[in-house]
Formats: sequence, C-alpha cells, structure tokens
Amino acid sequence: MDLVDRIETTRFLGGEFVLWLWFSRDVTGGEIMIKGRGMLVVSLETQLALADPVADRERVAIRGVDPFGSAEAGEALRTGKLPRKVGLRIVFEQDEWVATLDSNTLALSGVKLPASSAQSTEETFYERVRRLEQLHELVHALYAHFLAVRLSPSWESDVVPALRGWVASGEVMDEKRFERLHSKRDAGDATRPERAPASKTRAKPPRGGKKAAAGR
Amino acid sequence: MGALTGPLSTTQLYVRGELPKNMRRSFMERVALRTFRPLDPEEEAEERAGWCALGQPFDLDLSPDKLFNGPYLTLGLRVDRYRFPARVVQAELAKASHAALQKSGHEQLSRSQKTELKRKVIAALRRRYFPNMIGVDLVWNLDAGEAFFWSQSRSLLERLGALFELCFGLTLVENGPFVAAERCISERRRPELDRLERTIFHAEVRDGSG
Repeated sequence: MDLVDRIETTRFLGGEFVLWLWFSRDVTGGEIMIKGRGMLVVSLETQLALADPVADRERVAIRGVDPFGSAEAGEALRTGKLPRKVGLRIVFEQDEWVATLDSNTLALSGVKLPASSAQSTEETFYERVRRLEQLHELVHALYAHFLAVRLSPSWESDVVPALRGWVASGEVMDEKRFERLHSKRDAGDATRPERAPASKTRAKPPRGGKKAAAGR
Repeated sequence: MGALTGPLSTTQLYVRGELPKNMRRSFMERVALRTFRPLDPEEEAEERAGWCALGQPFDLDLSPDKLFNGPYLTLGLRVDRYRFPARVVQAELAKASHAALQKSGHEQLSRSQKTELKRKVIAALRRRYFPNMIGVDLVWNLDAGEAFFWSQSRSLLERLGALFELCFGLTLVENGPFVAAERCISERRRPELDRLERTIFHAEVRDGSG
C-alpha cells in the first residue's frame, strides 16, 4: 500500500479520536493527564458537525452553548455518524487555546491563541508561530494518547464496549478505570488488556460532561 | 492570510527529504529562481505562482534577512490569475464582432476571425484590469522539519506542493490521522496501522455481533 492509500484508508482514525475525546470529556470532565507533559483540560464546545464515515455528505451540524449534550448529537451518534468538526478549547498550564478541529485532516482553523504581550512585528511573529506550534503539539499529544489505547488490545476488550454503551445510552465508564486503561499505555509499546472489574460502568446523566451534568 | 496578522487557519505540513549542505546559500539561490514574476498582459500565461516576502505579496526582493528568521524560513506563496466573468468577455466580444463586421462589410466572421477576435478581446481586458492576486504565508521550521501554510484550500495546497518540490527538491506531506499516527508510534509498530479497521460504535452492528 502506498502512502496515499494509507492516508485515505486510515482517515477514520480522526473521527474515532474526536469521539474518544468527547467520551473522555464525559468521563473525566475533560481533564486528561498526558505522560511527560502534564494535565490538559479539554472542552468541546459551540460547534459540532457529525458525518457518516461512509457517506460523508450525510451530515448534521449543531451550534449552541453545548451541542455535545444535545439530543440531536446523541441521535446522530446512534445512527452511526462520527464527529467531523468540533469546537475545541485546550487549557494547558496557564494558557488557553480555542480552535475548530477537522477530524478528517486534523487541521485547526479559527485558532485563538493565548493573550500575547508582543510589541514589535518580530515579537508578534515569533509569539504567534510559537503558540501555534504549541497548540499542534498539544493536539498531537492527545492524539498519541488516544492512539496508544487504540492500538492496544484493551481497545476492543474494554474501550469499545464502553464507547458503545455511551453512544447507546450516555452511560459512561468509571473514571478510575478510564485512567488505568490510559495511564500504562505508550504508543511504542502494546500491553495486555486490563481485566474488567465486576462493575465496569456507572450510570450517568445524558452525555454532556461532568460540568454539564453538574448544572442539571 | 498571514503569520503576522489575521485569522489562524492553517495546514500543518511535514517536509520530507534531506536538507542540502550550505543550506542558506542553496535556499537563497533556489528561491531566487522561483520568485514570483508578475504576469505580463501581452504574454499567453493566464496564471502564475511564485514566492514573495512573508505577508507582503508585492515585495519580491527576497533578501536573506526576509527569508531566515531564527529557526524559520519564511515565505509567501503568491498566485496571480487573469479571470474575467464570462458575461464581460461575451459583451466585449459582441462589441468587437459588430465593429469588425461593419469595417469588413461582411455578414459574418469566419472561425479563425472569431478566434483572433477573442484573443484580442482577452488581451485588451488584461491591459485594462489587474489579475486576481492571492498571497498566503508559509513558515517552515527548519529544525523540526515542519511548516505551517495559512490556508486549507485544496487548490492552493496543490500549488504550494508543486512549487515547493520544484524549488527545494523536497516533498510536503500534509498532517492527518495517518501521518500523525506514524509520528506517534515506534517504527516496529507501524505495520499495525495498516491492519487497523474502522470501529463501529452504534447499535446496528453491536446487536448483530452479539
């Protein structure tokens, strides 16, 4: 298979990545610990477009305060659509970035960078590029975190059943179990799947995340 | 669409290939060969692409201090194109045809006369109007082998890829789920990417698979 074929036949990974981000947000409230980097707080907000991975033209676009908690979003997932474009907010250390992520290409648009104190044109250039590079590094770190579990046997044994339950009913995985599944993973090293404890999942309010749930 | 101001909608690219020895000198020479040359209304070319200064489409004097900024090589891709609305061309052509018929006294123009007339009409329009111009910034981190291009337009990315390869002899690869995955995992695990299959999350298949 040449590079072009590989690029095309693995595009689905982008949609799965964003779905996993969405699921993570509902499990952990968006706090994702990345090995060697620290804690990232990821929010999904303001815009959501879902598309059928096979028939890309079948799309649903939802805007609003929390499109991810809407009934339309849940229904779209239950009919097999995956997130195509999402509004993303990442907080790392004291800094915050906002962007729209296209899951098909992992391209970021409408990026808002952390506040800058740059004065000169030269300073502005370096600051903007450095901040843009940082944002891409953070998204790559999240993607690597996802990929580590996606390539591990626990994807099929633990994560997919949990994701299916969440898609069907909004039921989310236990936070500690989610963290255990992800903490040992390293994209360079597949490990055996974790055995599920007796109680694998816990009932949660409809998808929308901890914050949204707290507000209900 | 720029690195210095305005919205930040970019495409992340990876540069594949080996950098030359004497990189700065080599790149200066290469960029000089592909610096944008404005379209001349009298020439046949309808469209042209080339390099300009970052954020300055009209600045074609690409000195080393404009190109090299710390670890970055900074350029603008400038694309100029003559494109006239079909209605304008038709109206001008009708006017020119009418004048030609009056002058010759014939009832109609031959095919070759029509072709020649259209060429003249287009040439006259080119003298009257400027071409459409697009300038898009490119910032290449030479240390990291990564670049940002301030557009996500497919046609501009294709233009950039072709010009970049011609100019530097290096290939640009767009970031995406596969390319990012390749960079995340160790080489020995890369074959696993080829074996991955799409996961079905909704109930239809789950029920079927038990």
